[in-house]
Amino acid sequence: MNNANKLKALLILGITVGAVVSLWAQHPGTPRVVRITGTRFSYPLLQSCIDSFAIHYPDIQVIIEQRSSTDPDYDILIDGKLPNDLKQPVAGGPISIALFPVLPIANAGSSFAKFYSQTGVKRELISTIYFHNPFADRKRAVKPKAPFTVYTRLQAAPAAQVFAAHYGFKQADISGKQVAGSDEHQVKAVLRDTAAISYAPLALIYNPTSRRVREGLAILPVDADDNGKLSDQERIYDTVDDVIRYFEQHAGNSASIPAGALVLNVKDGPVSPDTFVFIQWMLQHIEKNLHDFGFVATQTLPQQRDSFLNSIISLHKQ
Amino acid sequence: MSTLVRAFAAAMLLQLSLPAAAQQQLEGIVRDSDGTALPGATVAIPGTGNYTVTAPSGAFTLSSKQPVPYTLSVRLVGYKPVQVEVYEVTDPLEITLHSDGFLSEVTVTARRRSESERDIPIPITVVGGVRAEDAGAFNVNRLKEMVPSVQLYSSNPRNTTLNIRGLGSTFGLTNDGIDPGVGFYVDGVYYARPAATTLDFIDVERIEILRGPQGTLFGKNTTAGAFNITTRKPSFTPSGTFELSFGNLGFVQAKSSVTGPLNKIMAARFSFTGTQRDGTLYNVARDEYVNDMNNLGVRGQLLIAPKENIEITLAADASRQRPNGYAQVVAGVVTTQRPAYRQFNAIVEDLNYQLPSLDPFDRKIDHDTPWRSDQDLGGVSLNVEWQLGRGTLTSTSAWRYWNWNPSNDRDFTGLQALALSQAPSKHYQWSQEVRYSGTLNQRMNVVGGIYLLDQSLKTDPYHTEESGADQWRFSQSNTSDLWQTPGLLDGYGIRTFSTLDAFGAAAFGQLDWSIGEKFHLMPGVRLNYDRKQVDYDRQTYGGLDTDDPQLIAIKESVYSGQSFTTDVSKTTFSGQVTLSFKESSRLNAFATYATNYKPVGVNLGGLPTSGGQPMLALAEVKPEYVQHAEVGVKTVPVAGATADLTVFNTSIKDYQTLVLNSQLGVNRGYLANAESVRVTGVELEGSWRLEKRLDVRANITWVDGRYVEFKEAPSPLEDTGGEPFKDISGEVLPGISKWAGSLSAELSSNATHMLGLEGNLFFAADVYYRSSFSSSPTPSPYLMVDGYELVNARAGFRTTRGLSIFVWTRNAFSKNYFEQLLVAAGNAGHYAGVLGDPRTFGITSRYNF
Repeated sequence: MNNANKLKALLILGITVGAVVSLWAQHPGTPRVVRITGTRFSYPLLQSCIDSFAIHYPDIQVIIEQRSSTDPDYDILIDGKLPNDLKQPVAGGPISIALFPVLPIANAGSSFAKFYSQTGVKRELISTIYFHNPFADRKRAVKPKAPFTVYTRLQAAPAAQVFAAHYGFKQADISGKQVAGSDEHQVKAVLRDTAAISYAPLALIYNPTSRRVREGLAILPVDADDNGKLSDQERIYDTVDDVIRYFEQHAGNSASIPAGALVLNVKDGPVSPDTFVFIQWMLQHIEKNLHDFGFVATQTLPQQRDSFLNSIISLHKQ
Repeated sequence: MSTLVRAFAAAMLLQLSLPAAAQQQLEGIVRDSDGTALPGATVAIPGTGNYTVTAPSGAFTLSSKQPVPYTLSVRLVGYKPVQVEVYEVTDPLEITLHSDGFLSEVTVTARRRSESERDIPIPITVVGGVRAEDAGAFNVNRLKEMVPSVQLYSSNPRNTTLNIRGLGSTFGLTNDGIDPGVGFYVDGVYYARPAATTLDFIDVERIEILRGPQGTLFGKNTTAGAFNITTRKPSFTPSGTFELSFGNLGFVQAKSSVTGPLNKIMAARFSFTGTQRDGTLYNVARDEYVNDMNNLGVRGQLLIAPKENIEITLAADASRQRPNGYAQVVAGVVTTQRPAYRQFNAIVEDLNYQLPSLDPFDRKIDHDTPWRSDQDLGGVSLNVEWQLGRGTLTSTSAWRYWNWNPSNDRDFTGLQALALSQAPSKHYQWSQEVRYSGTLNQRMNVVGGIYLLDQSLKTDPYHTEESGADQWRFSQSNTSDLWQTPGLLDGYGIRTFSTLDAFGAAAFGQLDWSIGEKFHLMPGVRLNYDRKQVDYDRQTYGGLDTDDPQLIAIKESVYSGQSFTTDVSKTTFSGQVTLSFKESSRLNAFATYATNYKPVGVNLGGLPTSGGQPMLALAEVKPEYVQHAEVGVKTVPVAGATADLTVFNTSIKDYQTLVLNSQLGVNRGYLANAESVRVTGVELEGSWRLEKRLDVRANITWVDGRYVEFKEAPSPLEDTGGEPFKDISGEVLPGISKWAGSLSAELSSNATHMLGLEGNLFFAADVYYRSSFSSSPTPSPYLMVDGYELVNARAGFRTTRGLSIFVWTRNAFSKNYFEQLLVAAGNAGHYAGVLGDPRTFGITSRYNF
């Protein structure tokens, strides 16, 4: 797309937005609220977007509605998806706004962490210790060198689905103790058990301020390039920025770090003008906040964003 | 009936008055990996006694005041258990259980820690409380039909023998001076008197039957095995069960159990059971049916959980039995080697008497002395479990009582021969066990403890054996006319005043050492001390008051006074070692060698005399020395099935046995040691679950038990009058069927609705078989009980919450069989039988909430 075409597209988009906003003019006195919900580990990221948005649009209140296994009333849904789920775009369907790597972790005090934070955990070992696999070849199973207890989510959870899918399983195949609660609770459970191992998105593994792994947790290094060895180049876990940098540098061929797509979607039916405004604003500005909260920039193209926004408008017109 | 109804109503009122504090509801559903609902899964908050069971739809509701986070445990046989760490509950939990490929997750505490039955290298059979209740197995005698390795013989509660693999207690009449070899434990409390095994179970969660010596795990008397009964615990989730059964023979049984929280840290459970049934024998002389049931039992438990790591349970129970029963019927007459005039038929002909029937299965008697087997048994216990370090420290303190007030007609006839045979007794025991079970490191688990038991058994106020007007003819040992002296023996008897004070102490421990990935070595030791003190004083009374030396001699040949005291003590050291190889969850093989001692015994039924003096050397009965070896394998041959095989050999030196004696003065028997015996056997136990709707369980045992050496055994009944002793080395031990087996199958429907309730339709049948066995310490062809088979069945509609109703029958084909044969006092030649129950049938309704 050359510059002229870009300008043309932006002009059309601007006119369209203006028209839509005028169509959905608010009645005086009506609260202008946008409700957003979704996977909880994205809330800090969303809140940062909301705070920035509020500076520019003080009349629109954006509220995060906490999500459980059933969705609350919402305008915008931020969910986690497997990368493969986005290969066939659906009109009005979700748009990827970030990627979230998911890494195996352990209680830092565990003998498992002490051993495997040095040697790393390869695909075969992960398949053996994390997953219930009745068809596994027991003779070829890798014997862990230290005791462990796996913690996983009881309810369907994007991080769990991503982690399981990366190794060829489903979330239900993950063995071990199940946590009824959120991903944050899962990490808390790991911190409480000195034999615990689990998995978590970067957003919950690293301290967003210090940029280092949260106290009490240890990352179990994975064979990031899947070559059967753990080289020094793959020891990328000192800070969250190191991980993000590695991930973004190896985008497209970093197949052995589980990662899911954080996607944005809207509820079925009419979309309010304020919702539209917030979505548009967020799509344009979220990228600069991603690294702060442990997310990786997605490869979403501007045309995909435009297409998504247009589809929202068309949904309204229906 | 009125007593039962009143007691049941009182129990219900008491239970319904339990306050139900406001609770948070935890809801969810349990499914398998295919999404199929799983009914019957146990959902529990470990350490709180708070649990529930999923409904046929897989749904569950559990109330909890537990602050988050807490652990939720979900278990179901055939599935891997799941633990859920509950941090937040906003929606119903959806829990998925994965099949384990075999029926492994029967959790037992036999090794003093919760673990899978499949993982422990001990031959063990586990019967769940609900399964036992459904099968009508509300006491040990009925339960034995589900566990062929168990034998129970009871001619009345005091004279009850509980054996495993044919070993445990003396066969026949009980002598209180020795200990049982099968430990009977309820919630960790050892019940010293075998009479406890005749009581109705009260609110039982499960029954673990451990075969073989368990001295390094249990505090007391487990040389042959252990009955480890766990009752249902108080729960912080309000729930309850009410059950009412009616059947033929006037059978009425009521059971109830209610549990709930009292406050944040206390929960309680009250349980009640009452059973009444008409008699199964008709006494033509007294125009009444005897051998009825009249049992009541209550249990109350208070659970206090002041902290996460401490659990205190205070329990009290009381059982009362007032049966008009335990009568035996003359089963046959043997011609002995005594002169013709001393044969039973000649005696009764002289007395112008006829038995009411020569066929014992006519179930007719004419006993003139009323039968009575009143007993009260109960106690209190305090159990403290403290999670300490990497294990649990357990303290169990208990005090128990047993009041026994019997009346027997031990001549088994309508004649006034042995007119009174009564041994009222009072027994008290207190016990203290302190045990630690925990992990030393990643490769070592340990169980260790100390155990103290103090017992006091005394006559209340005395035991009585009294002759009636016809006794002279049974006792007549020569043709002298003096025997016919009017009133010579009428009312002549003995009163025995005795006390037994027993103290036992033991230190025991077992290590479980994991060697490599697959091997476990489990050495264990036991140091045991036992002391028994007896004060025995037997006095004659009544009969003809005479100075005639010849008449006095006759009287003294029947009964004589006797006094002795004895004080025996023994310290023994024993141990065992087990090596197990657990190749996978599908194969667990083990080999065990164990030694053990059954405590020193004392003769508490009188001593045989020599030259008119008691043979004091026979007062002490040496400890049994048990050497036991076994190899076993627990396997999963195909998915959903288990097959376990055990081969064992137990050798016992100084086997404690009852020696029958024709002297009335030793109450027909005294204790002695046989030189050695051996029991060898093979046990095959399996289960199979097909498509979650058909459950099959099967047990087969082959046991060969023999006296290796017993040169001076008492002669059998038919040899009475000949040589008093007989070498029975190589002969079979009593009470052991060479073959025994059981087969149970239950077919249940998918979840279905009836009367607005969700549940399963089911049909179940049990078949039990045992081959013939000797019913006499010294084998006699006349005292062989024929083999028999029993069929029990039931069918109905069952829910886990709500109303269940089913019909049942026991001994469906009304098989006539003897449970035991006993020689009548004085060895006149007749013997009696304990008859098995005829066919019974009825209906049971159960309501759970």
